This record gives sequence, structure tokens and C-alpha cells, in this order.
Amino acid sequence: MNYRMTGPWLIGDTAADNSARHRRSADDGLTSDSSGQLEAFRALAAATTASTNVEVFKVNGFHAAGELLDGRRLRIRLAGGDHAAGVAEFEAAQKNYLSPRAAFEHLWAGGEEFVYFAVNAGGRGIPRFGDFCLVVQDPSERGRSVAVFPGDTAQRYSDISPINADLARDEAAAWDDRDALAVNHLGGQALTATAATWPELICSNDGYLETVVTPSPPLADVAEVRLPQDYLAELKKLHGRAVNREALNPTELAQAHAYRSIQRWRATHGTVTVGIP
Amino acid sequence: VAENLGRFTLLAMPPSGEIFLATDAYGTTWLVHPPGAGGPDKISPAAVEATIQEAVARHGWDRVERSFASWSELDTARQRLVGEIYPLPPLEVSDFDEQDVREVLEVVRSWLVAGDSARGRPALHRLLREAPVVRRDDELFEEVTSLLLRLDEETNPPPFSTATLGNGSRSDEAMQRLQLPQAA
Repeated sequence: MNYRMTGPWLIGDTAADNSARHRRSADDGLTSDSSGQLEAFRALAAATTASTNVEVFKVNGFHAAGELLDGRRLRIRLAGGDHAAGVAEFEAAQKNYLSPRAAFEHLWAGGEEFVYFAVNAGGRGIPRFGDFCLVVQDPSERGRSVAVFPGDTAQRYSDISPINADLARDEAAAWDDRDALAVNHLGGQALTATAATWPELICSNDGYLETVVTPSPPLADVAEVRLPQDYLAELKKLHGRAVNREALNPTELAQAHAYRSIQRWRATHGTVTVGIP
Repeated sequence: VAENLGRFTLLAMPPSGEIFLATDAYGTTWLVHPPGAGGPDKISPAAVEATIQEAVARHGWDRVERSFASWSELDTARQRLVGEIYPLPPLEVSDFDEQDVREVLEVVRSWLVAGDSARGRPALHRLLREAPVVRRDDELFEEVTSLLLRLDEETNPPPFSTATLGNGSRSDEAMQRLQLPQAA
């Protein structure tokens, strides 16, 4: 189906419309599992948060903006506020990713302002490209529209052109139904894995449930910043060296600023910084 | 991939440069995380271009693709690039709160324990001069000045005695000696 003939939809409403179907399917799965494992897996999934992993320049950019920016708006900000230049840079950088990402976003009203998170079951999120894991406890707070999908939305619905709009619409789940979505899409793997590996099943470099949020959450909603324990220790040292007026190289200074940023979030919003072993 | 093929190639990095993709002298590509963050992660040859594309398109990294004769030269260039595209001012301490101060004191103490007793003096002087919270909080003031006293005791000769600062009193004489503005 061509999405231009059917969209744009309201993502929060679409997810809510799917609620009964997702929950019924998950309930059926639990009924057929006499081991009780799926019920435990569902409980774990119901207690998850949303997280995004970012690099130092994004931490500092978010701090300056006072909110978690989507990719376009971050580029515009880095371009000194020049909207046209920022969007041009963003689109030029997208290359092969632009088409599937745009196709997904055009399905929904306000899709270009989506901010993407992973459903996080307690770990460091998806740290491959960014070691700062910013955790939002409940992305649906403050009336934000949220939908959770069983995978990377830019890839899952766009492998075949045109985008599979029906599948995207059918799979969208409300934040409160992420436990059902997890059971429906990961339940089989959960039954063959140990409970200790369930958090990684829900979120790791290898795969994750993607959470789409709009509008972007303010910094006040960042409940935790998770970092590798040793990296957190390094950041504290860099911060101390910066205060001590020692000569830091540019990457060290950038990291000291990022640490300063998250400390301001602590002081202003109560954000907790956690070192993960 | 790179135009100017050499032994070490900086492939891509974010503007802040703390993490980057690079190929070493053996042709192996690595995703290098900052110290303490683990890794580096080896990238299979077949996945190199896709990894660069993903980093650039989805995470806002810049494609660099410049080669150097040594890892050291690559690192120097990485720092120079970050300095050019992501310049930052020195860190301010004027908005520090109690916890910020205590974390810096912890770092200074770690230097002291490691035998580097002279190292933390600039930080302590900055906190006394530029962080109003230190002058507002008697307990914090005592902690900073006591640590300064310990550093003095470890260095020979101290530039001036801080003995009067270590007893918990914030005398006008001491404040003047350190050229500290009075707390608001």
C-alpha cells in the first residue's frame, strides 16, 4: 500500500487503537505457556524505560537546547540556527538512510519531529556509537504521543519499496502495551533463553524495540544517565583536571563539558548518574 | 575507502571526537571508544562502509577519511579537527553546587594519595575564588581549606601558611590573604 494514499496518521492514536489486539495476543501466549516464563518476561518488559545512547556533542547540544533534540533540529543547532543549512546537512548525511527514514516519518503527522528511543530493561542501551545512555522513565508523560515498534522502524518497514505502511500501522503499540509487544515478538526467544539474558534480548546492539516519541522530552524527564563505570571515573577525573586548569586536548575538554552538563541536570532536575560495571 | 591511502586512516567521528572509526596499519578497522568505555570493537571488512554510513547518517558523525603515517599523527589530527569544528570555552565553576565541589575535592585527594601533592592547588584556589557555594557553606569552606592546608604541608616550602584556614574560621584576614570576595 502506498503510504501517501493512507497517511498521515496520528501515531499515539494509532497505537492506542491497536491496544486490545496486542494485549489479547499476549494473553493468549501466556495461556499456552505452562512454565510461567512468559509471564515473568512480560513483567520484566512492563517495567522497562526508554533510553537513547548519545555521544558527547549531543549531551552538550541537548543541554544547550534544554531538551532531547531529534537529528534534524540538532543539525540546525550545530549549523548556528540556520534552518536551511541544517536540514541540507542532515539530508546530505542521510544518503541511503534518508529514503526509508523519510518514508516512515511521512506516514505520521509530525513525523519529522520524532525522537527515537529504545525500550530499556536496565542496561546500557545500545552503546555501540554512544556511551551516554539517557533514560526517560515514562516517555508518555506530559501528554506526549508514543508508539513502540518491534524493531528499527527505518529498516523494518522499508526493506521493500514502497514502505509497508499497513505493517507499521498494525504493529504500533502504546507505551503501556510494550509488555504485550515484547511477548508477541520476543516471547519465543525468551522461552529458549535464560532470564538473565532477557534485558539484552529486549535491548542490545543486536536488536531492540524502538520507541517513537513526539514532541521531544525536556531534560527534566531524563531520570538517569548510565555510563560504563570506568568511563564515569574517567569523566570525573577529566572534570577535575579542567577545574584544575590543566591543558586538556579538545576531545577531553568536550567530555569534561559533557560531564558538567549531566551534573547540571542532576542539580536542576534530579537526574541520577549511574556507573554500570 | 580513503582517497589518500596510508597506514592509519581516520574514517569517521562525531564533532566531539571522543569515539571514532579508524583503520590500523594491518588494515583492520576499529570502533574506538574513549578511555574507560571499553572496546575497541573490531569491524569486519565487509561491514566497514556500512558502519561508516550508519554512524554518519544515524548518529551525526562526520566522514573524515584521512590517512597518516602513524597512530600518533592520526590522533594529533583528530584533536586538531575537534578543536576546529567543535571549539569549547574553559569550564566555569561559578554555578557549582556542594556535590560538584566535593567531586573535585575527591579528585584532588586522589592526586594527593598518589603523591602528586602540588597538583590540585589551582583547583582549590578556583573553588575558593570562583564558586560562591564554597564561601556560603562553612563546612564546605572548611573542607576546601583543610585540603589546601594538607597540600601545603606536603610541599616544601609552602607559599604561605594556611594554618589559620584549617580551623573552621573564615577570618577576614584569611579571606583577604587569598584575595577572596566576601560571600553575598
